[in-house]
Amino acid sequence: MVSFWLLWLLQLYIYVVAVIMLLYMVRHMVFTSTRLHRKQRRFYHEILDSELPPVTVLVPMHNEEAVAHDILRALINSDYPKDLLEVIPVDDHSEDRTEQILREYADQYSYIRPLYRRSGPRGKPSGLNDALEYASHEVVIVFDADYTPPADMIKQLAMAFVDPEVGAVMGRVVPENTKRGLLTRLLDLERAGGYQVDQQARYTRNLIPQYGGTVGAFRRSVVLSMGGFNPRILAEDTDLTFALFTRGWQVAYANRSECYEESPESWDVRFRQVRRWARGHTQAAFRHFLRTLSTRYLRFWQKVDGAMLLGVYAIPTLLATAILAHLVLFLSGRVAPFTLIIAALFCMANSYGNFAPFFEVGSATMLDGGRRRTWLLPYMAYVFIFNVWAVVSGLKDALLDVIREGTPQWEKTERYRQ
Amino acid sequence: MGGTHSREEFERERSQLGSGTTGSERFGAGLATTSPLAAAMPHRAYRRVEPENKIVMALTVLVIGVIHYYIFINFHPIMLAMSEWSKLVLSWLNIGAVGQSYGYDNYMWVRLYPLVYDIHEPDTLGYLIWTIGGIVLIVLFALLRVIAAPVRLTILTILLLLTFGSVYMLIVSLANGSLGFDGFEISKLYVRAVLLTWAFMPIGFAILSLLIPFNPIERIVLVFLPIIYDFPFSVVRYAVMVWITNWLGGVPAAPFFLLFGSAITFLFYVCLFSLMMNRVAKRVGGGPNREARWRW
Repeated sequence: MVSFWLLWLLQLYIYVVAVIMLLYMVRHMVFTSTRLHRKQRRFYHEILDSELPPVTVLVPMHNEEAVAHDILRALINSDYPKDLLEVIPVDDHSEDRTEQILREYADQYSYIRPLYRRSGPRGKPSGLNDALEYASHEVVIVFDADYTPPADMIKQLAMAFVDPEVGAVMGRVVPENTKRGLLTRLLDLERAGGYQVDQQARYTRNLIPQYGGTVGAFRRSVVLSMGGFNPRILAEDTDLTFALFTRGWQVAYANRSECYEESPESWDVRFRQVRRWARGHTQAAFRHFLRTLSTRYLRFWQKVDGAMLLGVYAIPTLLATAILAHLVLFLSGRVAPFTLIIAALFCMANSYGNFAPFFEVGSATMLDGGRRRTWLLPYMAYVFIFNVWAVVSGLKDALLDVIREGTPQWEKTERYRQ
Repeated sequence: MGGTHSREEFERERSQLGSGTTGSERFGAGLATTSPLAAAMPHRAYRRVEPENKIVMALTVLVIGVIHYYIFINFHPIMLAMSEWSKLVLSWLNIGAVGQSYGYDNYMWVRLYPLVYDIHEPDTLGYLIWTIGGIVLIVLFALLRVIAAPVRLTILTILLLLTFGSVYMLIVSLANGSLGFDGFEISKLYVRAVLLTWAFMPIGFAILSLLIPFNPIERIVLVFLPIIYDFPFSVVRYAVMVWITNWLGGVPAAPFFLLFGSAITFLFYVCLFSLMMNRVAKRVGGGPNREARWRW
C-alpha cells in the first residue's frame, strides 16, 4: 500500500516537473519570437543633449593587479565630463599590488578616489555598502574589475536616469576572451542568448529585465533607503532587481551598451562561478518570491516572469530529482512511456544551454551577425550535466545558509589577463 | 579579442553613427524622427527579421501536416520493420536466440511488435555486487581530476544512476520483491517510446521551426530528417538494449533508457538545427543588400 502511494506520488511529481518545463519552454519561445519579429523597445540613447547627471563609478576589487590598469585606463578615456565624474575603486582586503596601482592613479587623477577596506567583512555587497557611504553622487555605476567599458559607456548608462521611474540600468555583457577554448566559446553563446534575446525581449515586453552587478547603474538614495546591499546574499544584483520592482521602480536594459568581460577559462573556475550564482540567486528567491507574487506594483505577467526568473535555478534540481523518480518507476515497472518521452523532450528543449535554450542562442547568434558559431550549438549538450551538478551544489549551499544563518564567504572569479 | 563581434567592429559602427546615437533610436517606440541617420542600417541590438509571407508559412504548415499524417498512418509497417531489423542486428551480434520472436501491442491506434526475450535478474548478492562496484567506481572517478569536468561529471551521473538503481533493487529483493518488468514489458515500453517520439517530436520541431526565418524546404527537412535518421538508430539501440538486459539485467537498462533514449535523437535535431541556422544567418547577414533584410 505504501509503495503504491509512493509510486503514485513519484508519477505525479514527474507530471509536475514536465508541466514546469513546458512553461519555461513556452516562455523562451515567446522571448525568441519577441526578439526576432517584434519592434524592439529601445534604450535612452538619443537623449544625449540632456543635462548629464554627476556620476560615481564603483569598481569592487580584490587582488585585481592583473586587470586594474585596464579598467582604470578605460575610465580615464571615458568621454564623460570629468567634473561630473567620480571613480571609486574599492580595494577589498587585497594582498597583491592592487593598492599600489590605485595609489598611482589617484595621485595623477583627482576624480579617482580609492577606498581601501582593511577591516570589516570581505565581499562585494559589504564593499559596495561602504563605497555608497563614501560616494558623492546620486547616480552610481558599478563595473566589475575585469570589464573594460568603451568610451561612451558611462554616458549611455547614466542617460536612463532622466526617467524618474528608472531605479537601475543594465548593459550587455560580451565575453572578450572567446577564442581561448571550447568553454569560452560556449559561454559566449550562452551570454549572447541571455542578453541579445532574453534580456532584450523582457525589456521589450515590459517584464522583468534583470539588473546585473557587472555592468550596471542604480540610484544611490534608493539603495541606501533599502538598507544597502545584504552581505548575506551572494547575488546582490538579483536581490536589487526584485527589491526595486517590488517597490515600484523600473529596471532599464541597454542592449547596445556592450561591455567586454573576461569569461572563466577553466572548468573548475566555471563550476565555482555557476555554483555561487545558483547559491546567491536561490537566496534572493527565498527573500523575494512571495513579495513578487503579492506586490501591487507589478502586473500579472510581470509577476509570472518574476516568479519564473526567481525559480530558474531550481530547474536543474527538479530535473535531477525527476530522473531519480523515473529510475525508481522504471525499475518498478510503472513508468509510463508518455510521461517519459514528453518530460524528456521538454527537459531537453530547455536544457541544451544554461537557461538559454538552443533556439534562443541560435537566434541571438544570427542577430549578432555570427554564422560559423552556430555550429557550436550541439556542443552545449556537453555542459548540460556539468551545469546540473554546479547548480544543485549551489542550491545545497543556499539551503545550508538558511539552516546556519551565517554570512557566506565571498569567492572571487579567477582572472586570466596578463 | 574575439567575442560575439569584434570590439573594433563595434567601435567603428559607433563612430560612423555618432556617439551612442543612430538618429532613429528614439526614446520609446513610434516617435517620428527627422534625423538624416534615420535610414541607417538597423543596429544589431535592435534589428529584427523581415516578416514572413503568411500564405507561404500556412502552406508549409499544411505540407508538414500532410506528410506527418501520411507517416502516422503508415507507422504499422515502420514499427514492424524496426522490430524485424532489430532481430537481424541481434542475430549479427551472435547471441543465440535472444529476441528472435515478437509479441503484439496496440498503442495509439498502431500495432506494435515488441520483441520477446528473457531478462536476466540478479539475486540479492548480485545487486550487492552492483552496489559495491558502483560505489568504488564513483569514488575512483570523483578522484580522477585529470578527466575534463563535463566528461567526469557525465560518467559520475551514469554511475550514480546505476548505483541508485542497484541500491533500490537490493532493498526490493531483501523485501522479497523483484524487478517490475520482464523482457516483453521492457520491449513494449521501448517501442511505445519510439512511437511517441516519432509521433510528437515533429510537431514540436514544426512549432520551433516557425520561430526562425527558415525557408519552406529547410522547415520540412528540419522536421522530418531526424525521423529518417532515428529509424536505423532506433533499430541498433533496440538490439543493444535487448542484449544488455538479457546479459546484465534491469539495473543498467534504466540509465541506458533515461540518458540514451530520445536524448540522442534530440541531439541530432540540434545538430541539424545548427547547420540550418548557419544557412539562415548567411542569408540574412550576407550579400550586397543585407540592410534590406533587417528591420528596426
